[in-house]
Amino acid sequence: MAIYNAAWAIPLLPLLGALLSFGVESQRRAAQMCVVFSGLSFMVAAILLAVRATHASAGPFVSLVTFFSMLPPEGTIFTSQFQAQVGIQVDALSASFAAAIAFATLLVQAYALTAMRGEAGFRRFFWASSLLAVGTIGFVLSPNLFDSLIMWMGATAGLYLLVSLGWQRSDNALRAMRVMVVLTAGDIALTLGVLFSWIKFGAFSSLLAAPVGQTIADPFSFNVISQAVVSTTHGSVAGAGPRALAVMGIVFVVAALVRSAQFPFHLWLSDAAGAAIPVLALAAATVAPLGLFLLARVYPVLAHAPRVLPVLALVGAVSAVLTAAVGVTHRNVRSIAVCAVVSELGLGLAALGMGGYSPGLFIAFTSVLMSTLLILVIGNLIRVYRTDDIFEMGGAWPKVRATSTALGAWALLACGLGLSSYFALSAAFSGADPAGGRFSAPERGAVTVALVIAATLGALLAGRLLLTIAGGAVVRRRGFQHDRVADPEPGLRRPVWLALVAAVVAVVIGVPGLQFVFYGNRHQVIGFSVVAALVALLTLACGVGVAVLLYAPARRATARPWMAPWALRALEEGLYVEWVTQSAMQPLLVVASRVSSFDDQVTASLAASVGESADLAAGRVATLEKTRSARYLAGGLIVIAVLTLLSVLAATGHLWVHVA
Amino acid sequence: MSVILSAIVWTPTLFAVIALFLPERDEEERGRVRTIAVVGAGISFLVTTLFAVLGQIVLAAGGGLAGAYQENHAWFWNFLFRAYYDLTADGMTLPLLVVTTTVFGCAIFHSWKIHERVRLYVILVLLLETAVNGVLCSADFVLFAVFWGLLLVPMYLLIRVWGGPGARRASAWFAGFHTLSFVMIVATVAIIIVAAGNSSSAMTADLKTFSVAAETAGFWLSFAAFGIAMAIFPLHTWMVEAQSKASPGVAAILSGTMLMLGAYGMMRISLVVFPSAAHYYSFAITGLAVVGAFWGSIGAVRQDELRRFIAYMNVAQMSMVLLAIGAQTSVALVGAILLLAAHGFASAMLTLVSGAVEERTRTTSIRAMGGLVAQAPRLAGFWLVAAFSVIGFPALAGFTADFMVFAGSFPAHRIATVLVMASVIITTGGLLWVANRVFFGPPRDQFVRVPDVSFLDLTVLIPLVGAVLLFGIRAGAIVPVISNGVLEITTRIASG
Amino acid sequence: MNLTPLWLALLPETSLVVAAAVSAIVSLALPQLRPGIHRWIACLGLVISLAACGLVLLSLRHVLSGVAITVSNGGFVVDSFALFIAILACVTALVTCLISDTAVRRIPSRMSAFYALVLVATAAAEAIAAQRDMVTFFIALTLLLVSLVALGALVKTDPRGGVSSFEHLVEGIVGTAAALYGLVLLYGVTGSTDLAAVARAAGAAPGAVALGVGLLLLGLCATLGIFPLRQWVGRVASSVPAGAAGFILAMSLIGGGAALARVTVSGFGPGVGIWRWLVPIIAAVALAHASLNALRETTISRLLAQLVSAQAAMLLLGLIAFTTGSRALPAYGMTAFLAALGVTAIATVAAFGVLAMLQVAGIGDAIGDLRGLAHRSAPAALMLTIAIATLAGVPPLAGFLSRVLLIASATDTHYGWLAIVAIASTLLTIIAAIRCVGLFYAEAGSEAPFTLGATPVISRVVAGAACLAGVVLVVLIQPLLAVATAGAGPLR
Repeated sequence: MAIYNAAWAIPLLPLLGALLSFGVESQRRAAQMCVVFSGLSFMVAAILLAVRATHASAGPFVSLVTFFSMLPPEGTIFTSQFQAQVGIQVDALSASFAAAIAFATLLVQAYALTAMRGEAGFRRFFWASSLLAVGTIGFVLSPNLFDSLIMWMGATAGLYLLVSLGWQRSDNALRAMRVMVVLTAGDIALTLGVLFSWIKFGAFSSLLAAPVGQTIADPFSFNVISQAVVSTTHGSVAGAGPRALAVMGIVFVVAALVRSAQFPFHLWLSDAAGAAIPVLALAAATVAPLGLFLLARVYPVLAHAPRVLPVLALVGAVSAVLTAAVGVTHRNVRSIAVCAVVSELGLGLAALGMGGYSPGLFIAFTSVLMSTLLILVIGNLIRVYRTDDIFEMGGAWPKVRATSTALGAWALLACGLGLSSYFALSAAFSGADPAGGRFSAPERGAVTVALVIAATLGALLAGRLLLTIAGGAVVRRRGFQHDRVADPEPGLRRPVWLALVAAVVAVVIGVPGLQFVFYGNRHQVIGFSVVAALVALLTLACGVGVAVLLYAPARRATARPWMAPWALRALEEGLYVEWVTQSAMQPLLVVASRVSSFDDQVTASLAASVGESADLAAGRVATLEKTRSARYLAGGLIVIAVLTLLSVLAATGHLWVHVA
Repeated sequence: MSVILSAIVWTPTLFAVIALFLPERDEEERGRVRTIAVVGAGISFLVTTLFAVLGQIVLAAGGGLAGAYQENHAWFWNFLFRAYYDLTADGMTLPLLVVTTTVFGCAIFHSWKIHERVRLYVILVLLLETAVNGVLCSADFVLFAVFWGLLLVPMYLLIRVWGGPGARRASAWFAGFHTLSFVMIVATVAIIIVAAGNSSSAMTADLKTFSVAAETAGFWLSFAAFGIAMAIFPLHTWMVEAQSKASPGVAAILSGTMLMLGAYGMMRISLVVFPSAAHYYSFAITGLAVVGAFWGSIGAVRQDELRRFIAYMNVAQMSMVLLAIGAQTSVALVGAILLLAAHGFASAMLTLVSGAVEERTRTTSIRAMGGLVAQAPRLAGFWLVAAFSVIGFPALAGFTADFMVFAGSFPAHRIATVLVMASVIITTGGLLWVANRVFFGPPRDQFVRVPDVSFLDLTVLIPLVGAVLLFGIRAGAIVPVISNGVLEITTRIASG
Repeated sequence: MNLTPLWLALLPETSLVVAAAVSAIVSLALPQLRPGIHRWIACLGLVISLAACGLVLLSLRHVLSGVAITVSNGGFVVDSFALFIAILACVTALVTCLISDTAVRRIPSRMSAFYALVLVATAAAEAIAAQRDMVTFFIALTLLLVSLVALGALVKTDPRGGVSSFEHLVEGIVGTAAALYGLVLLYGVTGSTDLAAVARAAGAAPGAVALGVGLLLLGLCATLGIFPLRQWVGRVASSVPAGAAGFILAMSLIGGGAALARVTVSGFGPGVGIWRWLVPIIAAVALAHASLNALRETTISRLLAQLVSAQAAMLLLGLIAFTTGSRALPAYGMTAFLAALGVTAIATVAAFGVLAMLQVAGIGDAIGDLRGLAHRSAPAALMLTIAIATLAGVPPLAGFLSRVLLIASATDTHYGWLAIVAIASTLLTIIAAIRCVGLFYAEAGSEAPFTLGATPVISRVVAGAACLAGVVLVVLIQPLLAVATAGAGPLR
């Protein structure tokens, strides 16, 4: 359908806004221009989503532009034409996620209009966030791995520009650098996966017939890759086997884990938390879920690769547990928010890993909006209380009614009413391997246990956050007029309300929406699992219960979970990940200084040796030069005398001349 | 018989001769000299770009080698071999010509920052441009050697006369290493002419297969010679010295074009003439590439001088080119040419920006800088653009180049490629760390009066940014052209 | 059969001798005449000689053998080789006459003698090239030596000049003596004074022939100014006024080169094997010696001398590549030899001409005195740069190209190791030259600017043209090669 060509506008409108904003004189106008264009792109995305919903089961619509193309002459390595294309692909998945991400971007930018007023990087935030939107939305809409790579790296760059906003403080700059480096590692992993799949499947794709309106069957396209995977499992792709699939899958999983900030890579997200709240919101809501999205796109590879899915499930679940546990112990509200987001995504990864394709995507989809909601609320609270420490907040319910209501709504969603724990658990219980077959009992058992703990801890985290902030009275501290505490201005409240509505709607329409999101070209039938529902409710109950026991305003004094002090410290230190990375940097620096000093020594010693050898040669030559010409004369005469004799000898055979 | 290539090559010399007779007593006359130089470089640039565009159309139409852009006159023939004044510009040469003419144009604009001995400066730069373009265009081994030799003296003088403290030593290093590489090139040429045995020194003449001894000797001689020129791992010290001691404009020429020439010669001669040896030793080459990539990226981290840092970055970048040369697949070689172009622009930008920073902060030590964004945000922007291009972010020239280099090298040498890709992480960290320490952080009060980019800086930097964006976004236009040129190499390797 | 009348064949030499005699008579008969007249007399003689050479060449254009006339049953041959040398010598002398007046301005009384000696030396060099008979060959060689030594002694303005001339004389005599003994031995073996006869009798007494050849080569080394008998080169260059020193070096180079070519290639030829492994050794040692010396010279004149000597040693590479090459095609060694000889002679005269200007302008001889030359007198720096670069074989100038030709031809005839030595020595000379040139463009420091006004315009123009030849000959190498090929014809 031609209307789908409008999808080009979804990523390009924010770009246009960013470019035009340079031409505007006043900062505010520039910012508003960016917001307007983000709004336009959201409208287009929403329309397309509606159109798509009317005929959900149609095939994906693809429109491509060739980026560059060459036909490698050697037939041995490159059998396929090397043609990298960029474009858009509109199907249920991309349409829904594009809408969600565009909406999140719009909300955050609108929020920032007020929140960042008068800050140094005001103008830069807006064009940079629009560029980031280009990257994220473009990634969601991309039809092939090459385009995905471009957009993925573009998102990295945009995020760097955003996080380095607070450049005046060296630690912020350092954080920005760390974000960039960690994400670049993920980019490298994705690049590797792209190359690997191209090397393996290029030959296969060159045999396929070109789709309508295209010159070749694009070896990078997800469609071709899924076909290739299927025929690889039948052993009909030369040079590719289960092992190749496994390697490919692992590489993609690594890229996804980095991008969706799973333990221990959640470092980049908590680094981003140091930046301004809107930046954190964009990072958590629009960048982190892309990891799950990538896995959804390359799901065939994971599904048919041996042993990759269970690993993914286990890693996701464990990381959810760890990050939730860390979050439970932290006092810093930003870190708690980051941990909540990451553990949510961990549940999604676990669901994907246990074969729950649609449930995983449901969690990713809802997390986009729930994270937006959470972090905007947090931002308001920080603004109101002028602190990051949740133990210095409190009494929000009576005084900061609206914001604390939103927080409570989020807490309910996060406790399990958002259904993320339910879907993760149901996937684990059903444990249906999408490649047919079932996961082995130990795998399912381990993942299930981890998921239960994670869900409980998640509920605990949410409850703790809510109770500590909303309950009780405002904590008195010096230099803080606690009686002035009130809701922030409307410009900060309205986006929160919108985010709340959107999150709830996402959960509500998400349930039928599961039928809307396909895997491959067949429905994944998701039956209602009573057990999972019960367990989910159970985890909700005990999580909230523990939270009440621990953090009810009356018991605020003993607000410590009972656990061993070393474990507590470990959790409060974020399991020492930051410390480990810091100390891992040291050897590199040592090696670096060794290297440069080595080079300098080489330079110096080479210079010295050259000089010495030159002097040596010169000295030798000088000794030759010393001889004076008088000696030449004498020597010449002697030589001549000798020569006379020799010549006589040579001519006559003896040394005297016959006088005969 | 078109004279278009001769125009590209000799116009700078012509204007150098004109500038030779202009006085430079006062500032006005110096301005005249500079203007003349700009006109010379500009003509060469315009001809190149127009001609590159035309040639691109011709080639993209599938013309193979650009026959239309050959100039072939016999040079001398009453001898053992016939030598030709044979200029050819094929798909490999065209983008590099664009790079060199652009960089030289910027270097000459940069001469407005030089106030003593302007005439000599511009004359030398113009001579150097002739030499560089001549090396890129020459399709005759003797002519190649002659043009290569023309590099020596001007570059030596440029480093020595306008360099900062310690420039004498740096220029001595340059002279030593490059004379060595030059005589090795001469030896290679002699081997080629005598051993190939078709009494002609034309590159286009099909060379007989050499004896194993001749092949090995010739390959390693040429590899070492061009390795020195492109400053690969064990032979990079001269470049670090020169890059850090020469004046910014000269350093930009150095890292923007000189290293490129080395890589170009390695493809043109080491690969084309000695294909089987190149194939046989490809593993060693990639090994060098891996070591160099890590050496450069790690060594860069600890540098305290801005331009020494850039020099190590050059080492890392050139190692990526070397990886492609070791892989010897067409995709990798096309990527390598793109990477040379991207690196030419990006490193010239980095060098000029760092020169501007040094000029503003009056120090070369990174430690002493900091918080410059407050005063010079545009400068920081230029640095970031160049850095992102080096890292290889999309829509910048570096992305396509890196992707194709990796894509082409991966099938040939998987481990090496993965390792080099891993080194990119360190490169990223290094570039951003320097950005942190120079531009970010708390603003310092001794830099309060630091001005942002001047009009002159913009005239120098804007074209480079434009080129980086152009090569990044419209890579699709240039790739077929390059692949037409690379075809020759790959066919030789396939046959050899 | 002789296509050319005898008078025409002998005209080149005779015209020079006559001109010399005329200027001597003039100086005796009409002493009141202004001394400048002698220069023009000399130029006239040289031009006549050149014209004569041209006429002979004209008559030669249809002769395949390249031999114009053979006198006294092969003792004296006027062939295209001899003509090439003659033309080269005349051009060198002409250039010298035009730029040398700074050298003779201080000795107006001896001006006629100066020019007479120049003419006689030129004639001697021409004669050497035309000799195939031992006796006359030796006489010509001695004549060249004596006239050059006298020239050096004539223009001396300080005691050093005399000393250096004496050393030149001593070394030359040692060399001549060695050459004489070699010739005597060869005569004793062959019983003929025809050089070509040696090859026929090589088998008879190999020991004696080897000894004779070795001695002869040793002697010619002295003339050519290469190791082992090369002290005089540096001394003459440093203590004789540059205008004359350049001529001495160049003419001695031409004469020695012609003599070597005549003796070895057309005389011994492939028949006598000994010289074909003796010459490469001499070449290698001489190259190493000269180029290492060049690295440590501190005065510009001595540096130039070392470069000239290195280039002279480089010529031997072409000399040994005279048979068939690696692909059974005729090797072009002699072509390269003659071409390089021409380039070197011109470059030598040019370099010393520029040096003469500097001396007149009162610039010291130490390289340090030339610091910042570019800012004190740009044209001088430019000319000196080109001249030094040409001599040192700095690319892309003619000197470099001639070296490439020589090295390629040596490689072609399986003298690869010698080629490597040559390349290494080229590296050294290039570095030496670049170091020196770099100094010209360094900071001027305290030295004051100066002009070349003290030198007459014509000298400046001619010297500049001679320097420019180093550049022009790169583009127009083909004509030179064509002439050289013709000149090398009779030798092969």
